[in-house]
Amino acid sequence: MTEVVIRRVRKRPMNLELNSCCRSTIHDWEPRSRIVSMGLLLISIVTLQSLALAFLGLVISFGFLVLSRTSWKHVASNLRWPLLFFMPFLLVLPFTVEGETVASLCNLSASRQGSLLGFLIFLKGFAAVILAQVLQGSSPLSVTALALRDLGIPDSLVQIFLFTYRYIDLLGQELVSSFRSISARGFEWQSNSRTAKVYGNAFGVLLLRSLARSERMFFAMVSRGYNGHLPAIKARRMNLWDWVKALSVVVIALALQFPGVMGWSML
Amino acid sequence: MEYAVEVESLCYSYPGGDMALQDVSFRLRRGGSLGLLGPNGAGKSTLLLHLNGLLIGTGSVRIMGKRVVKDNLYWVRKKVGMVFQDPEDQLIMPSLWEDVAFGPRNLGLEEDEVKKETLWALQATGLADLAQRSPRSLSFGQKKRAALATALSMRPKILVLDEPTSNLDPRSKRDVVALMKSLKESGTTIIFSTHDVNLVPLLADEVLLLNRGVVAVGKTQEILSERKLLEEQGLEMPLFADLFDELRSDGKYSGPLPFTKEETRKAIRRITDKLNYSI
Repeated sequence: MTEVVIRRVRKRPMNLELNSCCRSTIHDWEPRSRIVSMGLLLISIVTLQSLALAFLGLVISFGFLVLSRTSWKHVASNLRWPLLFFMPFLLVLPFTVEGETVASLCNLSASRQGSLLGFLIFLKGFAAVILAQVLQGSSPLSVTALALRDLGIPDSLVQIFLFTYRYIDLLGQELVSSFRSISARGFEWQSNSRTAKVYGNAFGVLLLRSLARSERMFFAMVSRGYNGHLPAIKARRMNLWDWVKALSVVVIALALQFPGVMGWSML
Repeated sequence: MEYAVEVESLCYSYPGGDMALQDVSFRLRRGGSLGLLGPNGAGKSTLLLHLNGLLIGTGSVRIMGKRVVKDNLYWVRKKVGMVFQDPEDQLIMPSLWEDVAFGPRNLGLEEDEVKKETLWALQATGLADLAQRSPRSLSFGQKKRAALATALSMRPKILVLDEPTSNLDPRSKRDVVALMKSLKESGTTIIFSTHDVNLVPLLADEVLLLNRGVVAVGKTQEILSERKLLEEQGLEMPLFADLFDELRSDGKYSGPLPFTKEETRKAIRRITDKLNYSI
């Protein structure tokens, strides 16, 4: 089992920055206005209550994906786990929400309302994850982090965000090396209290190592003049196109919330 | 003489721990190089942390004549570049470029200057082509050089390196040594700790033998010729010197001990010349 984990870690390192250096309309967009307007669109999509609008939200998300020229393969590989998370809504809600029965399976009846609700949650989740990937992948993580700080997110949170991304792989490697050393000494996973204890110890050691590493990291940062704040980089000024893009996205977000105003009453 | 580093009666204990440094004193001239040798737990890393003001013990540490105190730590960190043993501790940003630019930005340089210094440090370490890569995607040797670049981009007058060649393959080790040599030639004062006694003669003018306190300090060749002293500290003589010291004991060699390849070649020539003469 440990070997499987090791191979997985090696084969699929997390890379959120794979598409950050591409050029596209989305990449060229000033980061702060992009975060705010696309963030609004994202909130608008996840609060939709109509299936048709949620589908439209998904189409819009795909539109942004095309505009951002993000690698579809990369997005598809990142979608696996979120989709696995949304799948239970699709499968469980039809059988747990009361309503008009549309089908029966082994004495379980699936309701129309439950099916629609499950599908709605699935569509909204799918659309939100795609949009979030476009938003996050369209600039280097450090640029996104600094833009967040410029938008008023506390410096400490921004730094936690940056360092978590940088060090999560390293923590994974340390965990793998702990499990490897356990396996090398003949330990085999079983469903008993000894396994739980050994795993508990391994995670405990990981925490201690993390603490020691964070201390050394802090020293390394302080030695380079760090004083508790990330150094400021002059933010790019917003030009006319940035405003146009931001306003367009805000209009889309509002239109999804108030379809009647846009003449989309049939949705 | 103007000194880059002056340490006087430095003592330090970790909270709840034993004395890590006891009455350590030494001086290093500007542009000089010093190799710190000592067994594990001798306090080498602890001493190096004091040179950047990351730890402050009792006694005094002076950098370019100024005493290291809380009020001038910013100035100290501008002058003293620090390279840590594990590069993973030093590479904190999502991209190599951001990491190397981190120091200059902390110094408050204009973005044009930041770019210039970052590019120079990346070029000096041979990593310019990898600037946009994530540090975690680099090999260990590249990470070591990247860690060096993060310190170099601040153009320090004094470079402090904790075991700069540990865990490196021979080629990466050669690259790091060549880089350190060129920095030394350009006038940077270098202090490094190591367990590799063969590395010391290549880079250090002086050696400090540390075991919580100063065991010996002096010219590299003098200290590294002291077999008994080194063995008492769990160390050994450099390979070439060790061999020729034994030949000297056997009466087969009478010249000075060699420490580098070139010196060894000369020493071998001495022996062969002597043999030809006697034949």
